[in-house]
Amino acid sequence: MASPLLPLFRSLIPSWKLFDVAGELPVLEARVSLTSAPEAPWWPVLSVPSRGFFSLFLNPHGNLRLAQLTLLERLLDEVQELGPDGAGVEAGTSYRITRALTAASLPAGTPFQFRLKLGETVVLRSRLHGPEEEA
Amino acid sequence: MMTEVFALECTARLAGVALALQAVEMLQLRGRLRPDAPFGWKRVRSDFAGFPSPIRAGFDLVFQENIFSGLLGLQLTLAVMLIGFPHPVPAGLLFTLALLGSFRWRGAFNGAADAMTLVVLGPLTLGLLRPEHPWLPRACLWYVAVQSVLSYLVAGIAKARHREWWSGRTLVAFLSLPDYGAPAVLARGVRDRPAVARALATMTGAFEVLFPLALIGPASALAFMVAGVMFHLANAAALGLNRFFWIWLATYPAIWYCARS
Repeated sequence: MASPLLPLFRSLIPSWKLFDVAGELPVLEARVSLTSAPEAPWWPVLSVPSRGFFSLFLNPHGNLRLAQLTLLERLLDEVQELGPDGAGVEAGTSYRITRALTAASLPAGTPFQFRLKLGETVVLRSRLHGPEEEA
Repeated sequence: MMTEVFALECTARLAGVALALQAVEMLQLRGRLRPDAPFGWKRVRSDFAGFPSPIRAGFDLVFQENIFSGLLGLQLTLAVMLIGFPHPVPAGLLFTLALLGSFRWRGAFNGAADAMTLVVLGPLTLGLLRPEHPWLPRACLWYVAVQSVLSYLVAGIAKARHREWWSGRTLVAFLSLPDYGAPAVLARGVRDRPAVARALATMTGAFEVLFPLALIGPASALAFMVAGVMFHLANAAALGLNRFFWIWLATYPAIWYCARS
C-alpha cells in the first residue's frame, strides 16, 4: 500500500501521466432524502463553468472544477484500495471534503445521500447524512 | 548566440506571467479558503496528521484564511517583480509559495501545471543565484528543457500505445465528457466527422511523441514550439487548461537555448 503522504508531494515528483486512454472520469451524484419519497432521483453535484476568450488568462472556476475532479479521483482510489465495501473511507479527508461539497450544493439542513460513479458502475454510495452532522 | 543568463531571464519573465495569473485566480477563489468551505483547512489538515508537530503548527498558522490570502497577494507582487526584474530572491520565494500552495490543496491544485511550476522555479532560482558558475546555469536550463520534452513524450507514448487513440474515437469520447466543458460545437464537429477526429488525434500523438526532436537544432525547436503554442491554446479553449499554456510557455526559452547549443 502506498504511503498516504505520497500524494501530498506529487507536485515535487512530476510523472507527466497527463493522459489516460481509459478516459472515464468519476461522477458525483446526490439525492435529497425525503421520507415520503425514498427513491428520489440522483443529480450531478458539480457543474461545469462556462468559458470565454479571457479564460485563457483567468479561469479560476474551471481550475477549481479540475481540483474537484482530482478529489473525486483520489476518493475513487481510496475506495478501490480499501475494498469493495469502502470500510474506513468515511473517516478519510477525501470523503469528508466530498460530503461537504455535496452539502454545499444543497439548501442548509437538507438530509442527503451521495454516490460516486465510474461509467455506469456505482463505486461508492454514502449513507444518509443528516443536517446535524459536521463534515 | 543566446547566453545562459538571457535564457534564464526569459524563463523568469514568462514564469512571472504564469505565477501572476495563478495568484489572481486563487485570489478570486479566496472564498473557498474559508474554514467552513468544503476545501477549508479544518478538513484538509487531517491529511497532515503524520507530519511532525512543528510543521503542522506552521501549516495551521499560514493556512489561516487571512494569512494565506495575504501570501497570495505576496505571490502576485513577487511574480510582477520577476517579470520586470529576474532575480533569485523573487524566484526562490515564489518556489516556496508554490510548494506551500500545493500542500494547501492536498498535493496540487492543478496537477501537472503545479508540478511544472516547481520544475521551472527550482532550477531558475539556482541558475539566477550563480549566473557566472561554469556549468550550473546550463545544467538548470537543460533540466527544465528535458522535463518539458519528457512531459510531451510520456503523454504521447500513452496515446500511441492504444489503437483507439489513432482511430480518433478516444478524442471524440474525451471531448464529449461533460467534465471538461468542451464547446458543444467542437465535440459535435469531431463526432460527426470521423476523418477530422482521426487527423487531429494523429497530429496530436505525432507531435507529442516527436517533440524530443525539438532539441536537435534551432529550426526544429522553432517548429515544435510554434506547434506547442497552438497545441496548448487548443487545450485551453477545448478543455480549459489555461494554466498549462502559460507555465509550459515558460519552459520554451530553455528548449530554445538547448537546441542552439
